[in-house]
Amino acid sequence: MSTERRVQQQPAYILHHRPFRDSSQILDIVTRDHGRIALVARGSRAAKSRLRGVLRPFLPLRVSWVSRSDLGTLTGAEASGPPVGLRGDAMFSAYYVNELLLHFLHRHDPQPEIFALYAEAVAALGAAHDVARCLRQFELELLSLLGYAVNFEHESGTHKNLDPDRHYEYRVEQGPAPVERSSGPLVFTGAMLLSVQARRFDEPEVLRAATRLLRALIAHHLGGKELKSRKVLIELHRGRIATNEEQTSDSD
Amino acid sequence: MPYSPLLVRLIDGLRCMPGVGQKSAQRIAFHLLERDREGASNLSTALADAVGGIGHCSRCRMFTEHDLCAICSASGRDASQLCVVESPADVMAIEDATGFRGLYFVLMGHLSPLDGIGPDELGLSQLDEWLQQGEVKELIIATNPTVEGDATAHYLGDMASRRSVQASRIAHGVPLGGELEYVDGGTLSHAFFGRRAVD
Ligand SMILES: [Zn+2]
Repeated sequence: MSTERRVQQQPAYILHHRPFRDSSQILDIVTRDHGRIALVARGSRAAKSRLRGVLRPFLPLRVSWVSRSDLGTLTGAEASGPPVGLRGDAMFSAYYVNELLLHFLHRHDPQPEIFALYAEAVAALGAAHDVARCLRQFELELLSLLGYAVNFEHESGTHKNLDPDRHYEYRVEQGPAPVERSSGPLVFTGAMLLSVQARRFDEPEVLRAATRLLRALIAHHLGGKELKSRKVLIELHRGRIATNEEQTSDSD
Repeated sequence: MPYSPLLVRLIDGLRCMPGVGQKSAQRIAFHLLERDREGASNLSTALADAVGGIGHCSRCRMFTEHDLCAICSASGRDASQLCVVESPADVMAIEDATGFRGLYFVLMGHLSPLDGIGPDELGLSQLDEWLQQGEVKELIIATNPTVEGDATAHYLGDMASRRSVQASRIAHGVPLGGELEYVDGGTLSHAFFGRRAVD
């Protein structure tokens, strides 16, 4: 006999939801003290359900549930703060952040620091003018909390401090290795790596370098898995670029 | 004793319906065989005909067995107003509640980045071409007031403004997080006429 477990008023966010039966949903949520869990929200899609306006991704929640098995049952949910005003790119980027958590967090493995980081990232995306900057910040902290911290300090092998004037190739498992070439997909100057470490993302070239580096690192840690949210984001941008190009050629 | 192969096949077949599990499938199978063979036979013909014959309207993506659906091919609809909805049930709801005389575009879903559902899956390039033809003056966005519906509306609004088409979104009355198909006609009608520009 497994024991019943009741949790009350746990800080949480919905990462993903899918319809279940006629009027219910299965929620994949991240909680502060219980990690990532799956819950059934019975009747939450019914016309009269009071949960409909509450069970929204990116909204800070307090949730209560009861569980006997891997899949618990939601017993209550309320918003614990105002909705974050996510629009356009910020909204689609927030989905990307959710997908990273869905991939990197294991079920029932509490990571309160990652929870706090996530809450901060969602709020920052809501307020941000520069989405890319928020995302790089989030990715750097997330990798480090997951134990994959980016090594900006020492040359791989020699453990010497990085020389700002040298070129390094960032090797995923080892860190920056000194190279004679000055170009290549993951070749950076020491100065650039130190700027990324210092999060000088208001400088566009530092932000671009961070994007290049983090894209490679995250792809590596995803182990070849493709992110669905990225595929959608690429389609969305392609649509936008297509119209812009047509309009440019129209005006020629 | 195990069920006969044909019975097993029927029960398995019934389980493809949403919300029908093993128990309900069994109950439905027994009922059809024992009490309503004629109904069962009608159902099987209707299913086969529908699956073989129904496709999407080449203009608005509504289900139809013709190239154009009944609304797109009707005379007297106002082609300057185009209403975008998530599902065929939403078309029916708006038709019944509002007396809207324009045309529709049925997305058959909403943007859902975590399920990999993007503009391609929703036929948005087809909608974009439609807007480009210049006949549509107003795009009425009637996606559900869910987070995904909001994201979809935002993108559609963007698309409309790039094509210099005025966009509005139905607003008041539909409860937050709700799905259009379940809203009563009065509320929906109010929401429909209280639509506002997408910001
Ligand atoms: Zn049609």
